[in-house]
Amino acid sequence: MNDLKTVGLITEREVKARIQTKSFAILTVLLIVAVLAIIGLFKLIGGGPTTVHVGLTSSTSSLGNQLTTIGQAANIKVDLETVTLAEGRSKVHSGDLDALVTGTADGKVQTIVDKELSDSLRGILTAIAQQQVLRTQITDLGGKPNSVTEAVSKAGVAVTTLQKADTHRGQRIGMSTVIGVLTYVMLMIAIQLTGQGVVEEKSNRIVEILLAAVKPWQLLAGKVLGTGIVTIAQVILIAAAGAIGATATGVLHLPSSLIGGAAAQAVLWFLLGYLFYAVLMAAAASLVSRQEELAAVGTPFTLLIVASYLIGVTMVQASPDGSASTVLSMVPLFSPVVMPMRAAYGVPAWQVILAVVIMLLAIAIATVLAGKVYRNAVLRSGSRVRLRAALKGSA
Amino acid sequence: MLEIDRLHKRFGQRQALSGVSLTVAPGEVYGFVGANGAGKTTTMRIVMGAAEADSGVVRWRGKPVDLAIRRTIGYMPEERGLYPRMKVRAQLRYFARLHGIGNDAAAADEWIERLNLEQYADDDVIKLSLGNQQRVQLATALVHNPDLLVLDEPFSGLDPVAVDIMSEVLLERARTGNSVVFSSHQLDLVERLCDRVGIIRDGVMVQQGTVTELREAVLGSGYVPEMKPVMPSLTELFRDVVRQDS
Repeated sequence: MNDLKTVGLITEREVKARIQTKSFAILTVLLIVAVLAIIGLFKLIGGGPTTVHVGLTSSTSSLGNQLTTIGQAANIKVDLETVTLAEGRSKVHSGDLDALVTGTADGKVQTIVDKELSDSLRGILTAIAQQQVLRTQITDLGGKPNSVTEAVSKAGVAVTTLQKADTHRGQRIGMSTVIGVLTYVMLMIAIQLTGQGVVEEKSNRIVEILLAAVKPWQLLAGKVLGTGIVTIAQVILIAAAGAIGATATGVLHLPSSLIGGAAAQAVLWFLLGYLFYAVLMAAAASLVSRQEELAAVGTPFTLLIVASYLIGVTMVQASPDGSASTVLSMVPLFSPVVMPMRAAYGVPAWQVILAVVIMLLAIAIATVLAGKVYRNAVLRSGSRVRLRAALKGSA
Repeated sequence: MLEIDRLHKRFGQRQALSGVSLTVAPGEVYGFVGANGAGKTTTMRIVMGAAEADSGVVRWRGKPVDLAIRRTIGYMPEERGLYPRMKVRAQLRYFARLHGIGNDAAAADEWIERLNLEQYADDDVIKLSLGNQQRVQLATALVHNPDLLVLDEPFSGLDPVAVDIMSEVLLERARTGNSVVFSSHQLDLVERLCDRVGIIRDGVMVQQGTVTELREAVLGSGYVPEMKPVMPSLTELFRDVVRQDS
């Protein structure tokens, strides 16, 4: 049997073992739900234009046009409905209507609301009341209210910008944060699973039987690949759900190429980051014989991933193409989390390619070191194997 | 023929093995006995590549044992190793395939049947009693039809029925020309099953041969058993040998 077929067998077992656990299905569903919930939250807190529902009675139905026009100016969509007074009151009470306008007199727009009038609606209705008063006054002075209204509506601010403004900055921050959190969480989970798998085999000594039949590197490769295939499938599902959900609900109005590109980069960088950190984690895990000790040897890697995320939410969000962000996104320890967070803002292709090349080199070096440590340590049971001994000696 | 040739192994300050040598011929069941910590497990782990000797060599059919040869050996480590959350049949098929067996399903089913594991075949290993887990462990060692069996304490924790099944399997392997070496503290079993016995003490092989040869060696060395049995059992011989000069 050739070497790669053996790796394939080990990978296959690993994938099956992961998929068959209850926690796998639960975790996948939870993560997708979490992403969709975040999108829903963005939608609720005003990702898109606000809509207000206003009821008009027969005596106020003539205000409809003005309400819509003023609403548009304030980026508020006004849904109108003509109702009887009784109907309107019950709809306001049930929440179907935000407000019911019942009449205008003495410079007041009489309005019924359930508990309180929202600020956006107060603004619109106040503007209407002021217009009403203005029209009355103009008529009294012998002027033509319509021509005055028209002239006023043309008044505005003429703006000259010195730099092209990023109209989507808030959205980019949102997307970048979600990508950062997901890459961070998935990396943590994936390398933890890899480490646990290594310790499991070492602690119950099955590794002694396995290594009488396969080479250490085959076992290590199969373990890393198996867990990797399963978690990358989860990441693709989550990234796709997020990208589709965000586009479909209109929460993100960034170009779909940018959203797709950022999602693809999130998947790519998860893969690279996973390979890098998983082989190191597997090597660290091979030093210990009990699951309880795994946290201690894995701490350096989890700390580095946490640090990457913190770099992302501070430096990248403050200045995505600043020199600190640019450099750190190419340092292999950090790039798996920092680079995809920058992707939401758009990153020059050469920077992405350079970072990928550096990362691949780092993965190669990590794999050689990890293979050496794993080979020397995984059969030494009992107390924790010293890293120096594992790098140097033979069992 | 398995030849273990002058193995030395030191763990820190402790000399675990000092020139351990033994041979197991085809068709032979070899019993490896000694007190806890005498060096049985270390010797077996070196044979299986789980530990490396400081010096000395292990040969199988004249060639130093490497991974390719180890794949034809069936091994039961001292501490049992199985995937707890994998089903019995799936586990056996996996080990069969890892050892290059093409028809893994047939191999797994054969040993499930022979070791009376049918009713547990689709249960996770962790749900089985310890004795039944031990049978699965033996099946794992046998599923690739090995030429040589290296079993570390295969009888520990088994009920009498399972002991009989295990004994029968070992004798059957030897009858078909394979070699078996196992360690045990159950000396009555060793005496009953083994063609030859080796006694190890503090990393040194102190006696080796058939039980009859051991008797002659021990009695011939001038030792007179307290109870003066005409035919001292292996248990008594063992006590004598281990007690001497200690």
